[in-house]
Amino acid sequence: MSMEVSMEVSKTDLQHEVDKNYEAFKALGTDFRHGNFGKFALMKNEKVVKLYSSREDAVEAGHFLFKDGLFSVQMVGRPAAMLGFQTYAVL
Amino acid sequence: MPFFEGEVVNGQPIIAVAITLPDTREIKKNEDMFRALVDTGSNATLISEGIVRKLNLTSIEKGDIVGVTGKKSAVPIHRVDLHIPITELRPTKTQVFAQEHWKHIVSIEVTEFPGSKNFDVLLGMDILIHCHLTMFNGKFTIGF
Repeated sequence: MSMEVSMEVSKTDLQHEVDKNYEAFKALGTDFRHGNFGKFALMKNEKVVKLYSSREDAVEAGHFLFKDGLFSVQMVGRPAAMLGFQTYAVL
Repeated sequence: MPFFEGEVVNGQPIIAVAITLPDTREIKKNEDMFRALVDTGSNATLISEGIVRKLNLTSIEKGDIVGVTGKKSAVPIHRVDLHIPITELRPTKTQVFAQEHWKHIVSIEVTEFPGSKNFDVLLGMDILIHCHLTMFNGKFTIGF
């Protein structure tokens, strides 16, 4: 995910876009998640623009469609990273 | 199967790894090494905020991490190359290894975490599932 973003894009603007999109993504219903499990959602302005079967396709489409570079990609059904006991202090 | 042995210090099996931008496939002479905790209790591999800053990584995806207390946090997800020196020698920041002594894991997804004073990288089961890991009597062996 690094080097995929144009250097002209402000990191702050991009982070803001990614954060907003993630909140909107989490609010999508279980029907959406079950129906699109394993796909990659290209997101812009808190909306799912299109779903792709690979992450690379979603990123490529994002660069093609959004010249400002402000978009995010979310995998539908990504499991949470579960940390082990050794990491009790990191969160 | 190339392998190396390490010691468990304070209950934590720690090895040295290098992290580079995705698709680097090559270790530079003075590549920084990071301390990586081998954690079979984690299903994912994590890198610290410090590494993210150092490599100037930018994320366009987020995910959740859940700690042992059940606390959930939304964190950035990155893509990097991870390189593990396969050697009996203790890796240091200045030591250089020949290319054939590295296990290169290319373009893997890693989750960002705030960091720990003991380690910068957490090697989870998404990577460990591909290796042979034996722990016995305060030592461990990893083979790839």
